[in-house]
Amino acid sequence: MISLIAEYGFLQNAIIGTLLASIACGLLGTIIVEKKLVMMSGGIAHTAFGGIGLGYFLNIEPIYTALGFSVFSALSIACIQRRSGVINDVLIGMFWPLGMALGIVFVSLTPGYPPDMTSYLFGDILTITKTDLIIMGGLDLILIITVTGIFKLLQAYLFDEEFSTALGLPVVLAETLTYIMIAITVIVLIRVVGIILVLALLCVPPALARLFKPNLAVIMGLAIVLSAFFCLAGLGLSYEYNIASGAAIVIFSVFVYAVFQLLRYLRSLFFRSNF
Amino acid sequence: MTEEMVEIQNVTAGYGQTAVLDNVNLLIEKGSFTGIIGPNGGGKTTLLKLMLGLIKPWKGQVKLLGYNPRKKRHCVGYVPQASTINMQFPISIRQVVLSGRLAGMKPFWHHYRHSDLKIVDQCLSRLDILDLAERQIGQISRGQLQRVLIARALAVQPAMLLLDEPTNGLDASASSHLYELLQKLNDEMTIIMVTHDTLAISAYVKDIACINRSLYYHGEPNISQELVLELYGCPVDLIAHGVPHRVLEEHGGIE
Ligand SMILES: Nc1ncnc2c1ncn2[C@@H]1O[C@H](COP(=O)(O)OP(=O)(O)OP(=O)(O)O)[C@@H](O)[C@H]1O
Ligand SMILES: [Mg+2]
Repeated sequence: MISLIAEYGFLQNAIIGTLLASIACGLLGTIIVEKKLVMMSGGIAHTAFGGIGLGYFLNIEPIYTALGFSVFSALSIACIQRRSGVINDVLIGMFWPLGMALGIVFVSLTPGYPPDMTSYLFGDILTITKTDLIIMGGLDLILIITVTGIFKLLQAYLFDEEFSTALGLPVVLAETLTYIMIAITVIVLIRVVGIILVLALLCVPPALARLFKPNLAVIMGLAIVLSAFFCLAGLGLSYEYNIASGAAIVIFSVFVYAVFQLLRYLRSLFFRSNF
Repeated sequence: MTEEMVEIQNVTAGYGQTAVLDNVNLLIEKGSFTGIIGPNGGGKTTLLKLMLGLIKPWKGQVKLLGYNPRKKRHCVGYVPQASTINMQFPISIRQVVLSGRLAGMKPFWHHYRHSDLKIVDQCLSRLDILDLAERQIGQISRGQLQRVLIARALAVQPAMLLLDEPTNGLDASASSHLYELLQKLNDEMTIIMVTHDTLAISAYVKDIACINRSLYYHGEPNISQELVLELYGCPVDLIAHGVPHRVLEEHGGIE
């Protein structure tokens, strides 16, 4: 495998890509899980599809329009939610398909042969390019600087929004940055697992990491390591068995999570029966 | 001269279309220890939120220390209803209490000062939970959580404490412990406390305010049975200066 990596540039790109994706995944996945924004993130991810369609329609690199689109919709969602108090769930249920629908409309308006969207929907890490890596790295940098920069505020916002507001902290700023960062994370992950599979990679690593009950920063670190592990293992599986990389990563990570929980359950049974 | 900590004038407030509080007037003076009582859904928590500027009144005016609550709320230590706390969150007790020191923080690259850490240690030992400092929030009991939340509010070094049902879920001895602590704290700061523990508060608070949509009573903690009937809609084991009325007997007559 090592010699293969040295030989094939695309494998090198794939590996660097998974590592870059893991950083975004660990940082934002942790925030999303702790703030119970998992479904919200799924919704934001799917609005990115609208942006991809727009990119094809306007003949711009779709990843840029996807970024713009998902940041814009994340901010609108945050704003609507704050102002109107529409139930979160209902809001998600509307903009999730709305994003997809817009994507389909844009694509069908695009002249010529319809483009193949599957790599954006399910990810295709083996086709990742140098340009993709540069974009991913740049976005990662933004995420790292933001999360470390507002870490204390973020922790206060995540733990107790009401108390933080009563304390006069800039909670709205924390919330806005969080939503923007979710949108950015989705774009970083699109090439690796795709829009549809994003959620698993966002949830599983932090969900596993938090079982060890460490503090927030440690969960983020652990989640980065775990998602790198899942992505690399998934990549290996996909290369070995010639299956889609995104699917391999998702199946493998959920499988590991399930096994881990099962072991925990068995262990608790064992310990209980001793008493 | 007495100073007004909270000034609520002709306030009507609610959520969505429904008014929860109707034309409430209330003055809280500096140094007072006020117990707010009233039935479930009577608007007690809403009243505290108004004082903190967490919600805006539809009509009327709320002033905190003479200003808009949003300007002065960093001078208040808020102890929310414990049931609103996310006990699954990965955070240690010390970090929770430290967050009380964030008032006036700069959003980016904030660092706690040495003095912050010292204040937090003092608050922790004052509440007798210094030994719990490194525990996770999910690993403490309900009574300990209440202490943690009070320690966090004290870390703000507030001029006033607002507590929402601080003795909910505590046993009798833990409750009276807590009330005694609050009484001591009252020497340094104004205290407003929402509670359902109506039998006990008359022994500790200086004033009570009875809220059910509007303010029924505000003053010394002895009120008549008629007022209680009006407030709760049925006789409740209550106050009346150490002469509790039996709830069961009176209900028995109805059935
Ligand atoms: N966020 C909200 N949105 C809509 N209605 C609300 C909201 N919070 C409270 N209410 C309603 O406002 C009314 C007053 O609620 P509030 O929480 O102030 O009561 P309370 O006196 O604190 O009650 P409890 O003793 O149960 O804590 C209730 O009828 C409640 O249903
Ligand atoms: Mg309440």
